[in-house]
This record gives sequence, structure tokens and C-alpha cells, in this order.
Amino acid sequence: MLVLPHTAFSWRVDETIRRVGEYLSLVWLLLLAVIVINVVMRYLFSQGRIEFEEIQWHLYAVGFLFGLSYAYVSDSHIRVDVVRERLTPQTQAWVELYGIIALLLPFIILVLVASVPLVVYSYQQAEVSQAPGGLGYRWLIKAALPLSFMVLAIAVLSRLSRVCCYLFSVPRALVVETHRDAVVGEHI
Amino acid sequence: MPEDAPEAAPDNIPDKSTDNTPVSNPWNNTTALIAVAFAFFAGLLGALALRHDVRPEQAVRDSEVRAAINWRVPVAFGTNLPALGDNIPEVAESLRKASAGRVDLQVFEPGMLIPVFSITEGVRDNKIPAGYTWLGYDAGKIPATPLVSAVPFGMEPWEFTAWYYEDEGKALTQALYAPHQVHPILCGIIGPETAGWFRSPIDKLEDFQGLKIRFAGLGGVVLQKLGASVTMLPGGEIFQALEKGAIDATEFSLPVVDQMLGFDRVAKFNYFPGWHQTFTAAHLVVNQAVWAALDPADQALIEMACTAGVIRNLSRAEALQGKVMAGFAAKGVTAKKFPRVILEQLREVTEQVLSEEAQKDPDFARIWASQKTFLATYRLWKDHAYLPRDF
Repeated sequence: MLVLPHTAFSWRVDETIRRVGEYLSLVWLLLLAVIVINVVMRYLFSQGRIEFEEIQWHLYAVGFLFGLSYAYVSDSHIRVDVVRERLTPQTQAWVELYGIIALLLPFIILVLVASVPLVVYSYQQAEVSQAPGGLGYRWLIKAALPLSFMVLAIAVLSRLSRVCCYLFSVPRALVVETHRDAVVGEHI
Repeated sequence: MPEDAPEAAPDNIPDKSTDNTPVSNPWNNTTALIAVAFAFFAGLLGALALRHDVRPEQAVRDSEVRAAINWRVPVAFGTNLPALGDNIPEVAESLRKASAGRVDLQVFEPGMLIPVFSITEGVRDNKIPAGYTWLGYDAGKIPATPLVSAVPFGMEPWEFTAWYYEDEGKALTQALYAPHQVHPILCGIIGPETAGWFRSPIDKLEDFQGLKIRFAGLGGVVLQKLGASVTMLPGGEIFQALEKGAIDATEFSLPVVDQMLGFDRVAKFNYFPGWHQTFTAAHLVVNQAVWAALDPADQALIEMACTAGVIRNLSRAEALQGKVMAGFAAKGVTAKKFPRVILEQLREVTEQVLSEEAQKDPDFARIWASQKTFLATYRLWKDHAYLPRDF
């Protein structure tokens, strides 16, 4: 079982992302409410609202895009466990290091490179939904893609610092029980 | 994974697995770190290099041999759809034949390379050199596009081509897309589409109220004004939505196309006339830099193929519908025509919608004014020269 030490950086980052993620999970409750309202309005009162339908996929997108970094920090994402559980902790850490540097980070960079122009163009054109009754400010929801991947990139760097700490002892490990201020002071 | 190979690979004797001898790590940590960093940057550079896969064509050009044109062309309509979709493969085929295979447009089915509604944006970013689409799908970003792709109570197909080729149409369409680095070429046109497939008859304007309907372009704005909730779906997703009840009614295209998509199996009332799209134009959109780099002879060749595509497309669209409609009765489909009163009311709302759009967007105002000016004089000819429809 691989237990990665925390670093001063990862400790602060993970805490923040976890807390933000917990608040953002309220999105799912909101989504549920919107769906219920929409269904009731359409089938009981014959009043369809395109705005409500579009806000559904907006909320869904926000929920899962920002959920990515939460899942990553809390290590609740899927791994190929049949292979991983047979490896030594040392090898697991090496796989993790390779995975982050060779696959995950380049993927995140590619998404960022590709998605930022998408948002900029949408903003310049003041893009709105194609549906006549649809939502405006399309750039806002498009901006969720690069934003969430920036958060994910920070989460990944946090994990990377922990893996490096485990393998190379650089950066130094943080003793979790120690008072936070003392540790921060020590590292500065 | 290479680093864990030594654990199992060298000696395959099962008894040894219980020995638990520590396997010394053959990797020196520092060298490994350098290797990993190197792999990362190699991967990064490789990934970025992939973005520039369009080579400047003039590099190979000389006075005798023109460079081959190999374009990946995603399309908005499935090429299996008669008239609507099978036009662009024929344009591509005629280009291949005329150039002895040098000009090769490889047609990609909807959604294979790029989402249907993002074709022009992909062309703009040069992710793809060209695409074949209905410009009205860009209305969310460029509000004037419906005017050059389908107008409610608008022109008939040959009126539109008259405005496009002989009046200001071509120049205005190109000017509309110039700021987006896209060069549009009219490449296909069909006549009126059906005014929609409904589960129950529409006898008065109020019947549109509360209806959840898939309806494209400015006609959709008109229905939205009348209390319908109008949504946009690409052709490939409509049948499922209609069958599952996600939408109550839909319009898409010509009877022969709609039948192929299976609308007649779910909604039995097919309405006419196609007030919302009196013509439907399709364009080949080419990235402006790619277009400018072409040899003038190649530009002329492509324009010629597209102009031919326009008349062939219209001919096929006109030829196929009668037979399909003759088969309606056997399928339990009722073809109905909106009474004149409803059409007049729809036209009133359309005028309102067009004026509002023109107020919001200067490009819209300019193009609409040009069409109205052209029609004002064309009307004289139209009213005198043609036999009445019911003659």
C-alpha cells in the first residue's frame, strides 16, 4: 500500500481543493431541482423552458469538470487496480511519476492550449445559444473547461510533489501532526 | 512497464516467488529523473508539432506542376441523405475526375472529425482546411447567417441564386465571413423544406403554444415568439428525441430526407408549405489562408464544381419528393397545408422577428436591405412572367 507523504505545498493545495469541491458538490442538488422543475412544468403545465434545459448541461459540465480535481486529490478516481495492487509501493510511485509527467501533464497542457482560443472567440463574438430561447454568455460555460483544467493542473503538481518527496526526498516531507505555522516557517 | 520487468522476467521458476529476495532497483534515481524529464519534453514538443500539419503549399509549387490538394472535409449532413447530403460527395468526385485525382476532397461524415455545429469554427482555426455546412448553424456567433442560408417567407431557390450570383449576395456573404478568416462558396441549394412533423394537427396559431419542437434558423425564432419552446439538434439526433418524446414535433428537411430519418413512423402529420425555409443553401467553407494560397486555376476549378453542384443539387431535390409524397397514404401519413390565414399570421411575426434582428446586428440589416432591394424590382418580373401556381 503506497502512502505518499505530504509536502507543505501539497497540504495547502489539497485542503483548498477539497473544501472547494465540497461546496461545488451542491451543484448536483441544484441540477436535481432544475430537472424536477423542468419535468413538472413540461408535463403538468405544458410549459417547456429551453433555458432550464440548457442550464442542466451547464450545471452538469461544471459539476464534473471541477469534480475532476476533487477526485484526483482525494484519490477516488479509477485506477487499473488488478495490475497496481501487485506492484511494490516503490514501483507504484514510479508508475505514478511516469504517468503524471508523460501522460497527464501533457494532456492537461493540450486541453488548455486548445480550449483557451475557444473561449476567447466565443467572448469576442458574444456567442449565444443557437436555440431562440436559449442562454446567452456562452463563453462563461466554455471558460469552465480551461479553468477546471488549471485547477486540475495544480492538483496534479501537488501530487507530483508528493511522489517526488517519496522517491527522492525532495521537496521535504511535512509532518502532518506539527503545527501548520511552524512547518510553513521552517520551509521558508 | 520497463522498471518492474526484472521482478518476474529473468527466471520463471514458481518456487522462487515465495523467497521474497529484495529486488535491487536497476535504476539510478538521478538518471531516471533526467530520462523522465526528457520524455516529458519530447512528448510535449511532439504534441505541439501535431498542430501544424498543414504545410505551406507554395513551397512545392512551380510553374509546371501544381501541388496536390488533399483536404479533409467534414460535412453537416450524412452523405446517405438524398439531395441534402449526397451533393458534396458528387462535387468531390467531379473535382477528382476533372483534376485526374490531384484535387482530392475527402468527405467525413457528420461528427467524425468535428461536431456538426462547429464546422466553420474548425475551418477558422485551421483544424480542418474546409467543410460543407449550412451557415445558419453559426447563428449563435454570427447572427446574420440565416439570411444567406434560409429565410422564412424568403426567396425561391432560383431567386436566391439570382441575388447571389448576379447581385450582391456573393460579395456580402464573403464579407460577412471575412473577419472570421473563412471563405464561403455557395455549393448546394434545395427548395422548400416541409414545415414540420407533428403528432396532432395544427389548426390555429395557438396550437404552437407549449409545443417542444426542433426548428432551425429564423423560423425557430418565429415559433418561439408564438409560445413554442424551440430547440436545435443536428439531423442525426432528431429521430431518437422525437421517438422518446424529448421533443413533440420537428422539422428538418425534404420529405425524402425526413422519411429516411424515420419521422413518419412517429409523427403522422406532415405540414406544408415550407414557409420557414423557402430555399436552403449549403456552402463549402474554406479557410481563408488556405484559399488564398491556392493557384487561381485551382480556385476556378473548385468554384466551377460548386456552381455545378448548386444546379445538380436543386435538380435532385426537386425530382425526388413527389414519389415520396405519393407513398404517404400507405404509411398513414397525412400531408396537410397550412391555411392562408395561418400563413399570413406567420408572415406578420416573421417581419417582426427580422426587423428586431436587423436592429440588433448591422450585418443583418445590410444583407436584409440588399435582399429587399433586389426583390422589389424582381417582383415585377416574377408577378408578370410566371403562371399562377394553381394554373
